[in-house]
Amino acid sequence: MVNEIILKNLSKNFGDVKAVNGLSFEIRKGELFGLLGPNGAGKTTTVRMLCGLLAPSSGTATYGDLDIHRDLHKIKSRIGVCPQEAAVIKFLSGKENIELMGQLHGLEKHLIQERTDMLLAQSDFEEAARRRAKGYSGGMMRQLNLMMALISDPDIVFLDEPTVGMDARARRRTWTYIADLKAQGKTIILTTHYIEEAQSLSDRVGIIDYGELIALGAPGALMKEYQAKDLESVFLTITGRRIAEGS
Amino acid sequence: MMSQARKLNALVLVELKKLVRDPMNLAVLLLMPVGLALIFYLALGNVYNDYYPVPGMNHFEYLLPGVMGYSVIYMGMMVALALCEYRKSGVLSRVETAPVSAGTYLGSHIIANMIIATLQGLIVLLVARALGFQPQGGFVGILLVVMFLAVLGVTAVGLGLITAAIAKDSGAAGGLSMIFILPMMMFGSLLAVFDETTRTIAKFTPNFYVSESLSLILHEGKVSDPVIWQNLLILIGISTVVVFVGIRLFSKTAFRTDTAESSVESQASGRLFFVDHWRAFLAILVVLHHVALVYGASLQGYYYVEPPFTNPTAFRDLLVFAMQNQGWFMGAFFLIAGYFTPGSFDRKGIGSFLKTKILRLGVPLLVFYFVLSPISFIGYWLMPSELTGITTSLTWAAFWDAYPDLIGIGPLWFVAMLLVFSLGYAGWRLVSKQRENKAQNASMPSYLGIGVFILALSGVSFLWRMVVPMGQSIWQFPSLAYLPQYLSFFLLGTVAYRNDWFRKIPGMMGVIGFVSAVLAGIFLFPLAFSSQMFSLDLSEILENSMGNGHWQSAVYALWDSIFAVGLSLGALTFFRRYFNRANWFGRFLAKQSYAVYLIHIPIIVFVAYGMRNIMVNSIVKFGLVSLVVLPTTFLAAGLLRKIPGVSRIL
Repeated sequence: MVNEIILKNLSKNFGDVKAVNGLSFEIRKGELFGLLGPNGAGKTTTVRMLCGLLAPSSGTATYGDLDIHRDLHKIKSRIGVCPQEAAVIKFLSGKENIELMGQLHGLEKHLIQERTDMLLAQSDFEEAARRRAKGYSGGMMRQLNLMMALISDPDIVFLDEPTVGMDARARRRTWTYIADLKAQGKTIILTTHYIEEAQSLSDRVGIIDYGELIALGAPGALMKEYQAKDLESVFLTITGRRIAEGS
Repeated sequence: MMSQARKLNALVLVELKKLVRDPMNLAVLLLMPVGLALIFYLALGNVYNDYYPVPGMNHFEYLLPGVMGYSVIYMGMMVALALCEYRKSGVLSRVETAPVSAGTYLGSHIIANMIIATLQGLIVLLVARALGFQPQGGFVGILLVVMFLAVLGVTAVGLGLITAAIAKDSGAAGGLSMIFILPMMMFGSLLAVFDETTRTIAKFTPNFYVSESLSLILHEGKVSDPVIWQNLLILIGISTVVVFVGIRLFSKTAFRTDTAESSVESQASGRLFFVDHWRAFLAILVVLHHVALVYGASLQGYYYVEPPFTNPTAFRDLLVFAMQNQGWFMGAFFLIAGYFTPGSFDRKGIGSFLKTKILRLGVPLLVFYFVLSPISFIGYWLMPSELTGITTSLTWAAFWDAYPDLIGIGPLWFVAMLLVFSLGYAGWRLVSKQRENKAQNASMPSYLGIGVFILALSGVSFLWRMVVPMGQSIWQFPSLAYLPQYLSFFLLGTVAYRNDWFRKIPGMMGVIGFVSAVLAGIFLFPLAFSSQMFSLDLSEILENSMGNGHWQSAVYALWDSIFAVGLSLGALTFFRRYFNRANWFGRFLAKQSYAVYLIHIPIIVFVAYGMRNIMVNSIVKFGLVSLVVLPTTFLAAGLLRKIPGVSRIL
């Protein structure tokens, strides 16, 4: 398979703290790659570096020929980012929020209109999208958050803890949505600390702890290798701790 | 660039929507000024004092210009609150994941708030008009009012950015904002009854310059009072500094601005972005230098000059500016040119190197010599005849008659000299058959080495100026007295390339260089003129300081050697530290800088002539004309380079 993203010794220090320490692995084109680890393991920091929100302290990552140090602008045109927090502008309507992201990606007006209508129809969000985001529930905000990431029809989608705080039903609906995205051939990088989520959705997972990659592979293969019943047990076997316990 | 403009437009619209959709914004930004105007009218409409500029006005009318400015300053707080909120909610990060620069994003805040500031002020004026106030100044006055309010709006955004950078959340931002809002309210908005002390304090508040100017315009109708232009310049200066500081500080808290990343970016692409930006800055200095010559700094004949309208000694300040400029900026150009020469020679080989040099240096030289120089000298006909002795009007016949005297190399002397240096370099490489590879174990210049170089340069300059004093034009080279500096800096550039000094010189060396340059400017520069610096007798100054073996000439040579080396080191490390990242604006300026060098003289002549009827202090005039000339020249250069084939040369 063709590699979409290659991380080469990617590191990030905050003062003396090594948040991410020499990550090196590849993410393949069209796969759903789960980045799994306890809170504070360095997942979001890694994603923020890959999206250009944080400059690495050392190392690099490449998207094909594009380097995150040199070609950030071009990389940003190819990616869609759904951040952990519901980063929406509350005095704009849901539709205006989506359209704004389209405009910031430099899309033509008619294309923004078409894609916005399509996304809203897929999510059954047309009615709510006319209202200002200020009145949205948490779940609606997160739905909008995801649509804002997808308006540019990106090749690569970063989903940072997309289901955190959702009830079980909303979470399952989001999983279906993510699976649909994968079916469209998009490369998806999913960070999560929910074992079940990573295990059921991911083609491969990278498990990180204290900023370092401690395991990499398909969920089934990892479970087989560590003779574990699930990825939680894999983590427990390697670190002696449970993911939910964190550090 | 079009795409960035569309994004900017989208973001500006978002901020304007916020104004009407957020009740708090609407209340503070639009209803508050109206409320203030009404309250002041009801409370002070019948109060009269004896210190008003126009007898018979009431206190409400007296305060009105202050209220207009003051209402704009509140925007600073709203900007700070909004940015803190956007940062906290992740909206800023979200915007940053799109292909939008921090400059575009923050620029949208600046533009939106300029619009809002203008609206606010005009609403206050409309309310006052409805309450019986009769604004003076007519349409021009209103235009000036709009300009002042817009620039004050920029200052408010800058203060908001600084506040948001310091404050952790919007609550803290609200409190912190009061630190700048209250003094501005008390001192800058005419609320205080001015005595010497309060007036001095007020001058530290940006809205004071707005209040004072708006009072002159709206109360007295003095739209052409020099104080207005002076205040506008001061306000632009303040807003530029405040916004620059605000953007730098806020970006650090909200956007990816790590300098490590910048240098990595530069290394990865192999392009020295900071040198591009440094060169663009030098091109701007060249333009400013030549504008200064129009308003009094010219010691020789110049394409167009304008005698001072007011203060006859104003030329002295511009002369000091021009002399300090001349002390280093062309040397810096030669240093940069020298730096890029060996690499170009290595890449191209002698044939292509010479061909490129002749094309890129020779063609512009010819164009200026035969076309732009005569066009620029039309300024001779445009000047008052008592300055030139020309009494005939400008006709084709008169122009063609004078044409042989109008051709010349003008500022392209630099290009001519660089052509000679480049040919000399190529000849040396041919003879020595050396390859100018980058040294494996590059050595850094030591402080001792730099000191020796400065002393040697000043000694040689002193001796050379015994033969070629400063101010003496030889073969159309106006500053041949600086030949030792130009040649040595060009050679130094080739050495710098070999040792990779531009990338590797320590930042501290730049700081020390800059401090040395400043100290030399403070102590040695005035000493070179002895007590005659403050005399108007230029011939005496020239006689002693510009050469001819006088001790003042030795001091001058020491000063300009320290100044040139120190400022070049300072500028190199400054641009490397802060301007080593590609952005469209820097790229635009850098791309046009050579074309700007070629075309700026005729533009200066015609803009200065076009603005001849603005009769203000020479320094203010210099500032105003520069504000028009600089963007015009860069835009004209951009258009010129769009002509097929031109960008291969310029």
